[in-house]
Amino acid sequence: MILQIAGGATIVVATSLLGWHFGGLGAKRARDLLEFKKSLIMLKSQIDYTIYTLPQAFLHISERVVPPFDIFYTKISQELEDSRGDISTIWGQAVSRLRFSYLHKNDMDNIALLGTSLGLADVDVQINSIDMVITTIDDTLTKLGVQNAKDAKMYRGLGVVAGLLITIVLL
Amino acid sequence: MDITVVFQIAAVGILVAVLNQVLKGAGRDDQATMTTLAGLIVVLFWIISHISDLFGTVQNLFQL
Repeated sequence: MILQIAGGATIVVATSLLGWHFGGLGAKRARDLLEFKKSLIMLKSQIDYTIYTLPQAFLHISERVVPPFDIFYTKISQELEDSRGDISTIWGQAVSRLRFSYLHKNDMDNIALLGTSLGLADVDVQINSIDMVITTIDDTLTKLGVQNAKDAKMYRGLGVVAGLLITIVLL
Repeated sequence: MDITVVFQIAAVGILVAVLNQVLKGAGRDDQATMTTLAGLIVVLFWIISHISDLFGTVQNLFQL
């Protein structure tokens, strides 16, 4: 009997923790999107004032953002300095490395689009492209704000109740 | 018949009802329906042998 109670408690704790984990994913995605938006605003101002070359600008941004975006910008900067291909390809490859962040595929697709205009078009077109990505990120963040609260509550509730349900079925 | 199964069915019923409400509150009506169906199937799985016994008893009682 004690073993059954211990097993049941373990299942409930495990599913509750899973519920907490899944409930927090939306907030983590929003945090990553906000961080990337911050980096894009920095990039926009650096392109606008044309103080640095693009690889230098990426390096400066990498020093001001949190992981995994610091590595993202450092890699792009290094690969551009080493001339390992055009910026579109380098940007696309770097975006595919962002799969270790909490960003979704559609977020990464949106970011990848920026690679086609960066460094190739004139300053206005580049800034407009960055603005477009920022607007899309803002839209996603607005949607996430409403959805996250609902999802977090749901996942946490589901975690506990699902654990109890599994325990009763197994008893 | 063991009385525990009745309590188990009651507990599953309560928990499935809670799950249903949580999912409906989050706007996931499809998953709520699927959860209810899953609960029903689990309970049916538990009581199917008892229903079979009941039919057997009825047959014997009325010598059908």
